[in-house]
Amino acid sequence: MLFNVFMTRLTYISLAAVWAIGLNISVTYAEDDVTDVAAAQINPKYTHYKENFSVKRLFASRCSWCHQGYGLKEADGPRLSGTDKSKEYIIEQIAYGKSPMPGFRKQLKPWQIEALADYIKALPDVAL
Amino acid sequence: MTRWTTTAAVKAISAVAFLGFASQAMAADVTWDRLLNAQNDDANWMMYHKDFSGHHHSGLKQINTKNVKDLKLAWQHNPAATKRGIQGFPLAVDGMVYYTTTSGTIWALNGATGQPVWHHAAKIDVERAEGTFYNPYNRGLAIGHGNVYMGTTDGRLIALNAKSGEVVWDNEIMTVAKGNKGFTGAPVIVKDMVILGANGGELAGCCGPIYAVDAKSGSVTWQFDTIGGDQRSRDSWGNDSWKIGGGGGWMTGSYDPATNTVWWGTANPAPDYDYIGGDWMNNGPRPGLNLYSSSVVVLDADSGELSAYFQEMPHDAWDFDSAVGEFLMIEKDGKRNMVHPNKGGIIFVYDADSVGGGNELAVNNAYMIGETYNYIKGVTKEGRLVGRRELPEGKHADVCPAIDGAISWNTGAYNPKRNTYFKLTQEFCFDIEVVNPERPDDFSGQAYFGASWTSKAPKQKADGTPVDAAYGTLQARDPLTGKLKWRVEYKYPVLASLLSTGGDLVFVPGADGMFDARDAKSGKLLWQSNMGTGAHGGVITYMVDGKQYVAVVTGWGSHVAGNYPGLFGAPFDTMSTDTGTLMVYSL
Ligand code: HEC
Repeated sequence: MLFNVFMTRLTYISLAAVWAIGLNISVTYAEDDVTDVAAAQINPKYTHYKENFSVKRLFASRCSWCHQGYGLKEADGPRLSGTDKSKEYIIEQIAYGKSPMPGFRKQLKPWQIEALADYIKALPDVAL
Repeated sequence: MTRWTTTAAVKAISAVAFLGFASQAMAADVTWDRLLNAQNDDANWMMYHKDFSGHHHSGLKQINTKNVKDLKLAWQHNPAATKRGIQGFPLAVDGMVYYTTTSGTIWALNGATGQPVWHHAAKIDVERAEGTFYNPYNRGLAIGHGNVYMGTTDGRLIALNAKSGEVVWDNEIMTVAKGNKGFTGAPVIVKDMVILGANGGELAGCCGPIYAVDAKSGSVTWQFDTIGGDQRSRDSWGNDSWKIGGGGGWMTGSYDPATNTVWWGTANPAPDYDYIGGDWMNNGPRPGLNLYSSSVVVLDADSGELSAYFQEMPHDAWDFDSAVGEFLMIEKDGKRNMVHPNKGGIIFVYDADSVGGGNELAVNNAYMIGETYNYIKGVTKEGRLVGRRELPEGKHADVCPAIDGAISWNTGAYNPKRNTYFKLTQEFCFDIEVVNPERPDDFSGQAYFGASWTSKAPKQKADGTPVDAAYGTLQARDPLTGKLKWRVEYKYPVLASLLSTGGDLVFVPGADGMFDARDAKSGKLLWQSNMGTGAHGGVITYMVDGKQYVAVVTGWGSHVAGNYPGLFGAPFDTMSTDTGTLMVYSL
């Protein structure tokens, strides 16, 4: 049954993608896939630092404990999608933190922090 | 000297004498002997778990089922703004109350009036402390040998003179060499040592140490590495993954005088979640059992050597640590049992005498108290998990419980007269996508998890009963057999600890700020008071000058509490996460 839910969604997305490529126009994805759309815009900008770079994977490895749903859901940390903060502000926030959010400047490379900031800015104003 | 001055002098002298008497009463040292016999001393609450029985039960019965309806606020103390509320257990000794707030601030107050006696704000290396994500928390103190002891989030242990608050020593116990970690749990005194464990489950740091520190000098007497400390442990982490394996012993454990052993729970391994799924014995980020993560370790109190262990979550794939610090000693029919709850919603009953030699503990019983779980099918009486639901790379819907577990670090309580164990569960789930995480550098102390998730309500109980919202329970059971005596449902899972008293009461500080007193026999609500904000800390009772008090800390905000706005909306969507108060009640 779970499998079915995912299958339906995947089918929908791949059909949409095929349709979009075929007609060469953009398409609105199902709500919980906006993170993939945002990531797809950001990842290619950073593959020269790291092959197959995945900003969502980085997000899951470092940020997900407090920011749920790849940034779409408020939890221990706030929802990040739809933020009105500038990219510079977000870079500062990730680098220096704000208790209880730790600062990541010693743990992440500047380009990784920038990639995360780009990803957050690329998220549409959608909440889970 | 005139007559007037003589009278004044006499008055002054008697005032001094009175003060002298009072402060002498306050100053009575907490010796090891007193701590060892704390179970017979109900006027005081001298350690995190009250005494080494771990029952969180006081025989005091001035406040009881008949008169609890008249319970009123006696005094309260508002410290400065406390990020993420107050999470510690207050201590009450000889008329004084001590408690901690965020980031290592201690208050010593007059237990009858609430008047401040001294106050100490530890200077924290913010740069270091805020490199981890447990940075504001402090869960309390130990008192003894004339001092008060507190661990800090930057890896120090501080001893302060219990009477004056002056610093006696202040030592860095843990360097950042093997990962940036610190202390959030309350220390516990065993003989002439102060025992405390490091935080860090999902931090890529090493060795999750538990320390015994000399109470007088502050030097480390022994250190037990919960991971990588012995060959058996290293062999259970493929590819040297123990070096970034987490496994901290971050909550306060206990001591069994009969076997001279320290009992401690350890955290989950890092990374949280394992993309390899079912092939975890051979592959993935941490191949093997990952000893002694998500385990109970029993240590010889004098040497720190491993006396026995039991891994409650072999190769923990869900972040269901054993770090819960609660160990209840329950004797029955000449048999000594050690009862320990695990985050996965399981109660383990160990044979307390199956120690020595570093072997597995014998398990007398194990039973589930979580209601909506599906990460396993169940647990055998021997404590073995049945029907594990692995979470390989990819999406998994409705995994229950969520990362927060069915049981959190807050303690239950046990009424020995009724042989009733009161314990809370939290019932909510999540959708999770597991990824292959980036392996950080060895000993780096980096956050290290491999998933993103979204909390949600459960759809059904393990027995198939449909459920339409997240909820919590308060359960009253026979601790050894697990037989249910009564059960109360809470709309919002309670995250604070419980208190049982000789007045046949159970005190429950609620998530929504309602403080309940219930009948130990039936669970019936007998008294309730609104504390103004949610609670997720400790609750104690003590006596000063023949009067019984109940003290509870309030304040909201934590990893688990962070789910509540999403799960429930009001009142949590507007609940402050930077306040907290010590509330003290009496008749
Ligand atoms: C320990 C929990 C925790 C972790 C881990 C964490 N955060 Fe946060 N984050 C928070 C909290 C709490 C806040 C709100 C802080 C405040 O303003 O008081 C926050 C705020 C933010 C903000 C500011 C949002 C705004 O609109 O003001 C950004 C951006 C952010 N986090 C990004 C990240 C990223 C990226 C990561 C991973 C590299 C991360 N966080 C890891 C808890 C966390």
